[in-house]
Amino acid sequence: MWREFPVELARVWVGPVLLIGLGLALLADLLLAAGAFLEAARQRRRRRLADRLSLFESDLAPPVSLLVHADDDADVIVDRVRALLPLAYPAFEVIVAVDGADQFSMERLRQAFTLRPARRTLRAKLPKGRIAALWATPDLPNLLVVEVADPGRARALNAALACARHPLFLTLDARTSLERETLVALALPFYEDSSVLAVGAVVRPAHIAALRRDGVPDAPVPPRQYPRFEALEALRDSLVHGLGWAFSDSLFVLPDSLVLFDRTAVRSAGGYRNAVAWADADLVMRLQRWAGRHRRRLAVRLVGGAVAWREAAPTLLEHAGRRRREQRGVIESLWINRELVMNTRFTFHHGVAFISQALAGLFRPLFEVLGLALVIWLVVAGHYNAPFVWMFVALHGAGGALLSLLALTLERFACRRLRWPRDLETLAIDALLEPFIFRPVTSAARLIGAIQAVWSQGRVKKAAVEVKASEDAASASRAA
Amino acid sequence: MSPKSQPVPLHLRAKQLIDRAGALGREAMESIAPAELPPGIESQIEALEKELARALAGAADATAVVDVAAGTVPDAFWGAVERLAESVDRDAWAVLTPALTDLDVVRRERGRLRHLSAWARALAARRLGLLHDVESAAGLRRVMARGPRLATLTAALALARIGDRDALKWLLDHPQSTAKLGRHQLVALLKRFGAAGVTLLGESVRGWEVESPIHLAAIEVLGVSAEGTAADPLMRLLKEGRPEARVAAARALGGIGNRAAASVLIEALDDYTWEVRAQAARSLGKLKCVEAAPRLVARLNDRIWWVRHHAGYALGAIGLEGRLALDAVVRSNSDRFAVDMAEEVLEALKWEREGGAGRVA
Repeated sequence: MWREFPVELARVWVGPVLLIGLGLALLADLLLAAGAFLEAARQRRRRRLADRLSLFESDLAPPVSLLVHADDDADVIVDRVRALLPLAYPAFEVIVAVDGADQFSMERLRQAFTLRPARRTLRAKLPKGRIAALWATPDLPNLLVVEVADPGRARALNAALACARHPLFLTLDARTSLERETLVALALPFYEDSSVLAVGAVVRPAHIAALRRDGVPDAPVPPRQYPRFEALEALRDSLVHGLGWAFSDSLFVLPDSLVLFDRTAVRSAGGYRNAVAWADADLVMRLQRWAGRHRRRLAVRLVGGAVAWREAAPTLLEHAGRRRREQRGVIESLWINRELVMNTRFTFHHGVAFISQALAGLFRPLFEVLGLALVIWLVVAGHYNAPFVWMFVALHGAGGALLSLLALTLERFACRRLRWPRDLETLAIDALLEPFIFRPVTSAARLIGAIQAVWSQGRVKKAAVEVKASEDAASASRAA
Repeated sequence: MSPKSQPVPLHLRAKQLIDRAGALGREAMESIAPAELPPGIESQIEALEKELARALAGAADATAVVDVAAGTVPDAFWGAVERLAESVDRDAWAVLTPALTDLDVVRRERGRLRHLSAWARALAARRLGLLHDVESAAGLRRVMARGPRLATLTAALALARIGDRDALKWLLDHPQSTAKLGRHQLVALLKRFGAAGVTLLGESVRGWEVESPIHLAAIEVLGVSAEGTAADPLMRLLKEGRPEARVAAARALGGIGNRAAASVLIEALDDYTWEVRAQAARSLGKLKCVEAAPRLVARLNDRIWWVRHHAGYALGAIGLEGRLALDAVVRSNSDRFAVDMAEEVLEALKWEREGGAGRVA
């Protein structure tokens, strides 16, 4: 019975539904890849005409606040802050928000930079007691450390944001490192176009301790197998999906959340929300809603040439945990920001992007996990010749590998850091293996994230109420 | 009879197959996503760059540069010009480059100013702008007027490099052509026109209604360049202009540094637009206007953080009188926000005296 049942499943309706779903997802990805190539070409042409010199003329570069969230990062925090201070940018400040849950980072920073208690007035209201203390040093006037009393990323970032002075801000964690030119590449769209509200960078995994002085790793391809899979996934998410959605002006999720924001726009949108699993995705979607309402085109962008490096997750399980949280955050954010598809000033491209991202977020991991489980069942039951097995391998395996190869091609086009052809050959082989070794784990994690998002209706409702309240408050303050 | 060929071992055949697939893949990648520069021209770029650097240092004459340039492919020529133009002394570059403007590669670029594609026109404008090519001015003006926005901006930047006053007049008379550009970029563009451009801006500012971004940017340039002749019209603008114009004028008056503007700026501390109050306070700090101290102290109670911030730091910049006023606020003011700001500024002044880099203007 158990040997024949999977054949029936694969033949009657489960199999065809899974194959059609995966086929449509692959088709959507290929369309996105086409858009991504066009976007990369557009950015490359613009780069040739960019007037970078003017950006460096003393008072013309829009000043930037770098907000670093330190949470259990005592081992790296001092080195990361030291790496940020010599960035190639004319005007910036570094604000480190030490999470309430982090017991050791503050002490390390205090000793390394001989920090003293400092007085700074806050630009925004915070709950009483949110900031335990502020620390600075006369030797580094562009460094401020905020000791946050409560735990939580959104709380820490809101506290840092209240201390920030500059019109643009970038949030990053202590395990992310910027290349020397990244900030210029991110600020350039703000400098060139007054309608820009947020600009994202491409974040790739690397061994952060082995970065060169310019912030680029000596070996952009990690030596171990699992981080190489992670590198492929990051390129696919950032370049194929990110640039693809950017081409159609529908970028809702900026992969790995390294985003330079316009502070005023973020304030109008209500700042970071605690109740959402992925606060950055929610914030970007609210900015897109604002842009849609005000008829602003290309307000959220992704710059292929702006690259940052993040320490790869130490284990596959930890990486899967991150993907689970992100998936949950994306679905929760889409639900809270459903005005993107149903707003009064309907923007067609936002509607299409919303529906396809919602469907992909909910069903794609389900189809991948179910399909793979069915294939394993069929093979174990001795039906490895069943048409479903080969069609699934073609769609999931070959399709996935094709997308990874397209991402590698885009890497050469948009942000070339790989050494050709040596790195290409290594990664091309990984691209063939990845759909069967690495992707099942991340798909399962995403599926769990999607289920959790659907399950946590109360939390999402609370977030929606919180967002509505903050938007009302922002509109009221604007009106006043 | 030919000898029977030895069968190739399987592992070697597999390796050949993989090598062939790899070569095909590389070719496909090269055609889909070519490298920024075609292969083999890097050496040509370096040779021309070296020759240009020698000519700039006076170790070679322009003829030698022209000879080397004539033998390079267009991509190499423009690659070398791009690399040097932004990093060398502007005057020396302006003397050297006219010798290059008769080259075929430059003439071809002039022809591309009429290209159907806006991208091609913009690229041609950028390249010709790097050469200080005065002969191209008429063509560049056409590109600027024809648009779209990117081509207009690139041609305007090229014309700014050669200090073309007609182009500046056109930009000021056609504000809609630059309406969507960022303020910083417009300021950079106007600054590129140099001292002659600033004089023209100073002369023109009297006739403006000041609504568009380029006019606001022009006011900022007048402040940054400390153009004294513009002080009177800017004071009038600060009194009577629209909110955005008043903000720009208040900021620029601080840059110009004319103490005659102090009374108008003190008056502007009570403006109903908070941005004007903030910029007026900032400018009074730049003017080190002691008479403004009591009014600045009053602004420490403002409900807007930026106004309090600029008022506090302006008091810090004024000198002893300002510091005493801040001390008095800490001792006797009942407004918590004012006391916090005064304490912040006093601490910044103390740290500055200790030898740290200054935060107080």
